[in-house]
Amino acid sequence: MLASRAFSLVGRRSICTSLCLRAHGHAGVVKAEDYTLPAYVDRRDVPLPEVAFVRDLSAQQKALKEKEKASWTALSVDEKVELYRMKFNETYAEMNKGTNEWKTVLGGVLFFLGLTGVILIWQKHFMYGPIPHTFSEEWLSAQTKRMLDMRVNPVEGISSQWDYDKNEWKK
Amino acid sequence: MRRLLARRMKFHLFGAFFVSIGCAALYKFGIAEPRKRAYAEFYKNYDAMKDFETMKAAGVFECAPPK
Repeated sequence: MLASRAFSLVGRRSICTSLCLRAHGHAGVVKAEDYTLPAYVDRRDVPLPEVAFVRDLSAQQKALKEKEKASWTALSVDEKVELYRMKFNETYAEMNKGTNEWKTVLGGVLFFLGLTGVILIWQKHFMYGPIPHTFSEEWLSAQTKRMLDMRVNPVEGISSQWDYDKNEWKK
Repeated sequence: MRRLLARRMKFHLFGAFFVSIGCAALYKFGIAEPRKRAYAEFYKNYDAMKDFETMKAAGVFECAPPK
């Protein structure tokens, strides 16, 4: 209710898209934009697309199309191929053919992984400070000894790898 | 082109079935069964009190110091 009120206030004339503006000069008929028309598509599951591939035929192609209306045995092989290419862009074999894109993708991935590695190495060398003292050899061995004394994970974990009788790691 | 979806679906249905069965079997016989055996072996001749005495002697208990 409010919208129609506002509409009449503003006036119908000022609400006009660019297409409509153009139509006012051409007796009210708008030329259909390309994106509004049915399109040609090369897809495995669409064997007969909505339009032929070649839209604007040359004079030669128009003559061939006239010849197509007669008996097909009169057409040569080249003419049949030409008619096919007018209707379709790629054959199924060409459509399904693989590309070499995967090499580019793999190369890009590996390159950026390497670049990240370089950045990380630079950071460790130039940016980060020293690691905590609890990572020193003495601390780690004392820590492991305490874990073994406590029988941490005795069934499948670290204590199961220690030979308590010989006081060494199991072979 | 003929029966394109049916062919693809059959292939993937079989594939999915066998892949999932395979994953389950691999897990069961690669991880679950060995783990069950490891636990059975450990507890077959396990003496809890002896284990406790050894740990106590090593000094890891706060409330049961070695003496």
